[in-house]
This record gives sequence, structure tokens and C-alpha cells, in this order.
Amino acid sequence: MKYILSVLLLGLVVFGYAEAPIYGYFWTRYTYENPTTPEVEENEHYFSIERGYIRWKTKTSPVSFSGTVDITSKQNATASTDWQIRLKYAQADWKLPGIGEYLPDAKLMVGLQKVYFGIVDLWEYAVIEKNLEEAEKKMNSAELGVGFHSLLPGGYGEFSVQAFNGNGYSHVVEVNTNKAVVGNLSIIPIAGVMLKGSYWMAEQPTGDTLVAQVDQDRYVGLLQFKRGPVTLIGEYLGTKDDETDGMGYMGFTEFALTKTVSILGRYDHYDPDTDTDNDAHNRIIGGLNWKVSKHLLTQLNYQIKSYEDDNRDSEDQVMVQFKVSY
Amino acid sequence: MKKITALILLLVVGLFAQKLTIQGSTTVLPIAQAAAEAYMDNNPDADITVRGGGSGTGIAALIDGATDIADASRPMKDKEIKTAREKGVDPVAHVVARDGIAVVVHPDNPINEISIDDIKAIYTGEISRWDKVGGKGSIVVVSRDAASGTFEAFNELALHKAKLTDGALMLASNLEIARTVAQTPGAIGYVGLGYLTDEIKALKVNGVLPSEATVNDESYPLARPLYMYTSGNPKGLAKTFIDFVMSTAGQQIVKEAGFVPVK
Repeated sequence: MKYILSVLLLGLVVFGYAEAPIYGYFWTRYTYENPTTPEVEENEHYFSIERGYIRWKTKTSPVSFSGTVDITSKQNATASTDWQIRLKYAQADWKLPGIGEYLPDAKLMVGLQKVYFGIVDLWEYAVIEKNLEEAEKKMNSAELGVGFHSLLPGGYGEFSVQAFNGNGYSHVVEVNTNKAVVGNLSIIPIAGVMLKGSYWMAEQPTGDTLVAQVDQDRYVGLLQFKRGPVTLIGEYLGTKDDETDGMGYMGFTEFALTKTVSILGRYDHYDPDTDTDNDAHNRIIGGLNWKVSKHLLTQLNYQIKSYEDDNRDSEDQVMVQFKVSY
Repeated sequence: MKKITALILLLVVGLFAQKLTIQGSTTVLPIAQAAAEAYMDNNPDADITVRGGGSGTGIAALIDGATDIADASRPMKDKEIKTAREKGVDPVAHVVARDGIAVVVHPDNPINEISIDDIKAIYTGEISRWDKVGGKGSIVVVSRDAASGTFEAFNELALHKAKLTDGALMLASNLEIARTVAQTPGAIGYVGLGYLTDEIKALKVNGVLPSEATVNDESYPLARPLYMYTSGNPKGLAKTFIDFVMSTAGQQIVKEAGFVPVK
């Protein structure tokens, strides 16, 4: 908590100095789902604030600072302990002089930062569910470490290399001798078509660790098509934890009916251990988005998660979410 | 019955009216507005909406599909081009005019010329009195707000991206800058060539006075092209409108708005 307050204070000082505008958004969600525990027979339904981002970014150059505080409530929050405040991003970006002509927007990033991997850094919650990597808990959207990011000349894509603790933003304190390394390359050969590949590698820590961790390999191949009202994304995810190989894929589509209304669909498949039978699962999502105004997005999703194991019941959810930006 | 017929006719005309949205740079706004009015006078079935908001806003709207043409007083940034291409928008630039950014002072100010180095020193706060550049009294630094294309162009051409002094008065339009400088004896500001009036004095920069001739021959150092961006090569009304802006009649509108024609 002291850490969060210190960073908040630092952020406010920086904000005051550099006149960094504060902006952000929060998501209020209503969920109706089948019971999460066998003893309960009736369906459950509840309101929650899944994410509440308060953001700031200075306009200083060549070094700029940015931060995001994330406020969330647990399901049916009643006590103060049901609320969580955590730092999502806190980073300094240093635009590197002299190489901008060859590598546009080249920058060094230090701190708690966005992870450039697969669809993780692209996902803007077009449907309410997290992206495949995060939904399967195989990747975090933010990590503590250092990184280099640059665009390719002419708007033909981007690439990045980052080194992290490897435990996400909820466990930012770690002592170990091995760090996670991630590389990412996206290429846009023609407008609307993007090819992307990412690779994450983390060796098992050999020192004292606060979080149990094994050797990890993650790799992703992604193809995105966007043109006019149509968006199509296909992604393949490979995972390896110690000696266990896993694989998954995601297909996503969005079709804009008007400038403010679109329909969406997504199909996920993930098999955590390809050598074991009956352990895979699928996720089907159908959705409707309505951009009521510049500052309000309303989403309606129906989501069903089914298991390869016939003895496991599927899980259904109906969710209505309001994303308010300011 | 006549009223109903008229209403139906109005609806039919509305349904078949060609619509075009233009959004972006406040510098390009006078050109876009005058050209749209002239175009609609000659083409009554065309419905053209023109908005300002700044170059960044217009480019963002083009990327999001919220406008057909983005007016910009600067070229698109690499990041904007990458985002546009990622979202299926292939931005095509049309240079419709040229603009000189005139550095202006109050008419009573005795100085008539200034160097780029001195402009930079004044706008970064290194020089705060006119005495150091041949004038008298304190300098009141007036600037466009950081979101404007004019600021970005000035920041790049004159300040070489150095940090603006905290004491600068940040204003939302060229017109406000012209008015403020006209009313403040110690002020220095910068405006597009189209906003020069007798109430403010344009300074020679590195020995060159901003004019149509010096902007076109590229001898004036604070000059820039003005753009209309489309998603891909323009089609339909967007094409005929840009063709009109580039025509003799359109370039006359550019000239009348105080900018430099490109043809």
C-alpha cells in the first residue's frame, strides 16, 4: 500500500509539474450466470466494477512519464476489503535521439509497462472477456522491467524487445536470477492486414522467489484483417510450462452495422496439456456493442464455456457492461 | 396534400443527397469552409459538413472512419500512419495549399527581424526581455495550444522540439493570437499567413519576410504545406471536392483565404 501511495504521490507531483491531463475509464458490469458452486442451485447475478482506470501522461520530451491506477470491486462488494486498488502501469519512456529517422518513435521503456505479445497489447475488450492469453492465465497485460519499442518506417508495423520479472503487475516484487524475455514483431504489408508473431521465454528462477514459477515458453502467430465494417482476427497460441505442452487458438469477428452499433463473435479453444485427453475447453461468445456517445459504450454478451470432459457442465454467462470514459 | 408532397420530396432529396464530412486543422478550416460553400452553390445535391478541432482530431476521425477528409497543417506522424494502416485505412495526402507561419509582434515594437535562434531562445524562456534582441521591455510569449497543428509545425520548425517556456500564454486559435498580440505591446506570437492584419507586424525571419513568393520558393524558413487526407485514393464526392479545391477556382479560394496556392 505504501508503494502504491508513493507512486501516486510521485504521479501527482509529475502531473502538477508537467500539466499531464488525467483521463481514464471504468467498466460497470451486470452478470447473470449459472452457479459457480455445486451447493448453490439458483443462478447468480451481480453488479461489479471490473476495472476502473485513472490515467495520466506527461507531455514532456524526450522523457515522458505515464501511469495507470486500477480500481476494482469483487463480486457483490460490501466491505472495504472487497475493493482493490493497484498500480497497473507506471513507466518512463525515453525517445531515443538520432535514430528516429531510421526507427520512428524508437523509445526505451522503464517500469511497469504494457506487454507486447500476441493480441494482449491490441485487445480493447471489444467483447467483455479478456483476450485468450489472459483468459487462460498464460500472459499478463503488464509487467515490471525494461523494454525497447520502435515502429517500422512507413507505418509498416512495429517491433519490441522487453525483459521482465515475469510475474505480472499483481506480484511486482520478486527476487530471482532469471528474467522473462519477450520479443514481438508485427508487419502490415497492406492497409488492413497485419501479421504478428511474439515469443516469451522465462527460465525457472534459481534464487529466492515469492511466486512459484517453472520454465515457460509462449509463442503466438496472429493474422488480423480490418477493412470498412469488417474485422477478422485469427490467433494461434503455443504454451510450454516445464515439460507440459499446451495449445490454443482464437477466432474473432466484428461487423459494424452502423457507425455506432456492431455485432461480434468469438471462438476460443485451449488445451493445457496436449498429451492428456479430455482436458481441453472451448469458449463461444456472441455480442452486441452500442456506442451511445463518445464517452459511453454499452455491451451485451452471451458467453458459454464448454469442456471436453463430458462430466463437466458448461458455464453460461449473460453480461451487460457499460464502459464510461472521461 | 401539397405539404405531404413537399415533405416526401424533401425526404427523397435527403436520401439521395451526396454527403461529405471534413474535419481537422483550424488553419485549413477557412479554405475547407469557403471551398465547401462554393462547391455546394454549384452542386445543390451535395451536403458537405466542415468541422475544425485540430489536425490530430481530424486524423483520428479519419482513422476511426468518422470523417471522409481530414484537414491537417502537418504531415501525419509515423504512429498515426501505423495505426491507420492497422485499421484498414491507407492515408493519402493531398497538398492543397502552402502556409507560412508568420512571427508577429505589436506594430509599435521597433524590431523588424529576428533569427530562428532568437525565436527559440524567447519561446524556451532563455530570453525574457526585448532588450536582448533590439527592443525594449519584457516579452509576453504567446503560443497556440499544444494540440494544434500550427503549434506542432512551429515547435518543429522554430523550436526544434525544445520545451516551451512555462510562462507562455497558450491560446486556442490563430485569431486569438492575432488579437492578443495586437492588444499587447510586449507580445510575440505566431500565426498562419492568412491571419496577418494591419494590427500586427510580421517579422523577417533569418532576413526573409513571409510572403506568397518566399513561401513558394521555400526561402522563408517557417513554411509548411497544408493537407487534405483521404482513406485511399478519393472516390465519389470526396474526389470531386478535392478536384475542385485543386482547380483554378479552388486555388483562388486558397489565395483569398490568405494562403499560398500550389497551382
